[in-house]
Amino acid sequence: MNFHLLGLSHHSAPLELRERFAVPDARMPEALAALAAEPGVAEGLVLSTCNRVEYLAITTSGDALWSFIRRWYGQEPAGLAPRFYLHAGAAAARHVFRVAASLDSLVVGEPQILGQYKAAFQAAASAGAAGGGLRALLNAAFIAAKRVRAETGLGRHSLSISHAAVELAKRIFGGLGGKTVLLIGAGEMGTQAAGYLVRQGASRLLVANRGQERGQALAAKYGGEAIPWEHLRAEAHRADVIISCTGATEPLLAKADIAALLARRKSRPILLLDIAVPRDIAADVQELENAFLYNVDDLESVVASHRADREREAARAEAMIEAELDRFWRRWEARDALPTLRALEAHGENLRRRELERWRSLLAALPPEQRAAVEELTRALMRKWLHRPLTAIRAAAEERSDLAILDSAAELFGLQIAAAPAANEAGQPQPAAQPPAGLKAGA
Amino acid sequence: MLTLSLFWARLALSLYTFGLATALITLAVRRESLFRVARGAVALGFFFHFVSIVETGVALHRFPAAQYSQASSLLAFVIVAFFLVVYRFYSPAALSLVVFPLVFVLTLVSIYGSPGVTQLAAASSRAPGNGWIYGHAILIAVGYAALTVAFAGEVLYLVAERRLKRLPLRPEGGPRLPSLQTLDAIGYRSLLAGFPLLTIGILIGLYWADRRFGGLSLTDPKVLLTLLTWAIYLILLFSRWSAGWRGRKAAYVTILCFLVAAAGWVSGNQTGLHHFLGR
Repeated sequence: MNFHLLGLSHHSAPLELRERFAVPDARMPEALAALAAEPGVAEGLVLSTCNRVEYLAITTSGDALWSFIRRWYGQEPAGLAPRFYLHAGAAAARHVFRVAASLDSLVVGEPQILGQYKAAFQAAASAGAAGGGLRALLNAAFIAAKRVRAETGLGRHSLSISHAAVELAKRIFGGLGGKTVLLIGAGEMGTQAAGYLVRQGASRLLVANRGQERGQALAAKYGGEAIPWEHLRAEAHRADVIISCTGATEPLLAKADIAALLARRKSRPILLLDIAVPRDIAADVQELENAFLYNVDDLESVVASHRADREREAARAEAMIEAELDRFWRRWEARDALPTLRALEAHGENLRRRELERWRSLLAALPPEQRAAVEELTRALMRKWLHRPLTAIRAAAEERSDLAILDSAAELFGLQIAAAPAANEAGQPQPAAQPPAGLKAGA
Repeated sequence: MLTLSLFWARLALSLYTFGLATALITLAVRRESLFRVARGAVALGFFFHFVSIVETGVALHRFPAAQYSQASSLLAFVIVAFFLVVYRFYSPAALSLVVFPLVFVLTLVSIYGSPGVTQLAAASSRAPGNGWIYGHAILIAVGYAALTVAFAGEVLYLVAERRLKRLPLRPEGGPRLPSLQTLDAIGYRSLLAGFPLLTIGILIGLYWADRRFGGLSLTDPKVLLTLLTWAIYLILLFSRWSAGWRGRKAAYVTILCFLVAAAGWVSGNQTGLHHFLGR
């Protein structure tokens, strides 16, 4: 049994595909129950956001996750296997650490993902799908993510997008009072930036999202108005600020669209924030008078968060993640040795107590302080005597160098050991291109 | 008395100079909070400038706008007044970068430049209804002052727009500029305020010229350039109102309008306020 993670993200799949595999909140308990019921799955959780859908489980193999997908979606996602990635063991743990620390996000450093991961674990724990194993992994990932946030500039980088949006709005409009913001796509960063603009005084929020339900929910949250996706071009002229963050692979708004929009606005200036990757708004829009178009990199440069700084911070964050992962993985690998270690400690303590019991009548004659000294002496002796075997067993388990030492210790000391979890697999990532036969490309 | 008015004018010029220097420094180091020192100096200069104009008027027993130097002084005074009013509404400290140097030059010219022929006094003294011609001078001056402030707003608009269009964006350096919308509003509203005054001023001038000379001399470059300024002014306002002209296009035309007006003003220096008045 070990960690396995199967998923698709903005790196591997377009929004339409991610939406097909997304699990809505209302159906999450059902999905988690189905995942937990999958043969070979000990624990599982589902992380479903705009930018990724991931199934994380402690299973005997990745096949269990493919099997779950087939069963849950009731279809063979023919030809889609290459869009998925599958990680196992340490690679799966590393992926979780990187995602939680927002190193794998569309906009590196954005803070929502940590909350989304916490909510996903909470939902899994409530549904009885997640237990100690996933808790240990996620706790370690959250600690690493918080460390990255506290000790690197990546958090500041993310905030800078929203701050830069407000800064630019001030430079163009003087302020956001009376201004209308149109959010295209309900992605994390776009939502964050739009929410920030509304909190900073924007009067009205319009939301256009392919998924009308999500658009309406977001509009309702800020007292705004949802626009049907097909009316986007007809309604966009109402906005003074447009924030676009969809997963579209082609630009949604061309230069001609923005020119028409400006004509309807009688050339009142418009601020266009394209934080989608790839871009939603054609780059040549910047040539239009009274249209001010900025992409993610432009926004970052407003607040002097240069790419070089970001890359340096990201490199520091990656190093931090590796250190934290190493620490966690040693503990995780050593979990096989835990029963042996506990049994050995208990064995030593039993011996010590038995001997003290044999000498009880003699010890009873001693003054209390001398009895306490004997107690401490025996404890210290046993600790020192067991120190070397305990250390050797723990080290061997952590390094997975010689797991036979566990059996040797049991035999040497006559230990009765409770059944341990099955030793995990090699911890190497499996190529995603090896799904079960039913999921092979073109199958 | 004239010596005294010159003293007040020089005091005003000193305060304008101090205000200009302080404005340049505070804006360059982005300490807008200290701009109030510059504004205070200019406001105080404005007061002494007023005293100087009153003293001159009292000494000459007429409104002091007959000579080119007096008209320059009046224009500088009205520009400062217009700036202070605009500042009260928009606090555009950076506008001083364009306005204060112009005020400085005009005041300097009014004190140290050639006074020019006292044509208006000579001409008006021969005609009834002297008040009309002074009304003409004041209204034209206010119209020009409005155009000057609009020009300053539009120049800054072009700078601010260029900063926003140039990619990659850099953290804003140099003087902090008002928002594009504020600069556009300053440009548009200044024009709106100045246009009717300029129009009335021109009409009064036409009326007076008709009464005095039986018509207008179209060979006077100042008249021609003023009428051209008015025509551009009208087209600009109409286009802004009807076709939604704004931004860069409106800025270029406002600057053109200002340059034509400035050419008219400079031509006044070459030929006397109106060359036909010398006939």
